Amino acid sequence: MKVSSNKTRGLLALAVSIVCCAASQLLLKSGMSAIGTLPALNNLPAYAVSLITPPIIGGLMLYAFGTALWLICLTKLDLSVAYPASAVQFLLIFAGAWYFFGEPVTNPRLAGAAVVIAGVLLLTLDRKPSTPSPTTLN
Amino acid sequence: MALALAFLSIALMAISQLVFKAASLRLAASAPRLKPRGSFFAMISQPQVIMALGLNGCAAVCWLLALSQLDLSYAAPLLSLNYLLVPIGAFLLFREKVSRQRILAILVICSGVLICLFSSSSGG
Repeated sequence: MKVSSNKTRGLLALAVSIVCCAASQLLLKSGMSAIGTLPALNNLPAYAVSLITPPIIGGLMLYAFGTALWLICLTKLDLSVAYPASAVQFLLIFAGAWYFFGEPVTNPRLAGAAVVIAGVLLLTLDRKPSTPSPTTLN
Repeated sequence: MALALAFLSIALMAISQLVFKAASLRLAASAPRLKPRGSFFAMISQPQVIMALGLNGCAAVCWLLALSQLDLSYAAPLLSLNYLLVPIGAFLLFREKVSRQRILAILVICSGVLICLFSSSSGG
C-alpha cells in the first residue's frame, strides 16, 4: 500500500511540476517577445533592468516552483520513470505555442504527440515494483 | 565543432538530471516526511540543486552556440537522446530496476519525441 501511495504522490508532483515548467516557458516566451528590442549586452545593468517585467518574473517563479516539485517527485519515483514521463512537457509547450502564439500544428506533430502519450501511459502503468525507497539504501 | 557542442549540451542536460536525482536522494534521507511548503527555499538552495541548475544553464548556452551554426532541423532530434541517456545513467549510478515494460515505454517515448521534433523543424 505504501509503495502505491508513494507512486501516486510522485506522479501527482510530476504532473504539477510539468505543468508549472511548461507554463513558465510560455510566460518567459511572451515576456521576452513583449520586450521587443533589448539593450546591448555590454550595458549589463540596463539589460538586467529591462528583464524585470511581470511575465518574466512570474515565469522564473513558476520555474523555481516546478523545480522544487521535480525534486519532490524524484524522492518518490525512479529517475528512469520520471524523466521519460516528463516528455509530456514538450507536448504542453507545443499546445501552448499553438493556442497562445498561433504556432502551427502539423499532422506529424500530432502523431508524435500520440506516440509520446502512449509511451508515458505504458511507463506509468507499469506494475513492476520500482527501486526501493532511498531511505532504506542509506 | 558545432556538433560537438550539441552533444556536450545533451550530455550536460543528462548529467544535470542525475545530479537532481542525487539531490533528491539526499533530501529523502535527511527528511523522510517532507513538508513541501516549509522547506521550499531550503530545498531549491541545496548545493546539488544549484549545481544541477548551473549545469542546465551551461547546457543551454552550449545548445544556443551549437544552433548558431547548425540547422534546428538537424540538431533538434538529437534532444530525444536524453530520454535514453538519463535512464541509462539512472540504471548505472542509482541501480534503478528497469523492467522490460519500462525499456519499451522509453523507446516509444523516444520515437514519439523524434517524430515531433523532426516534424516541428521541417513543418514550422
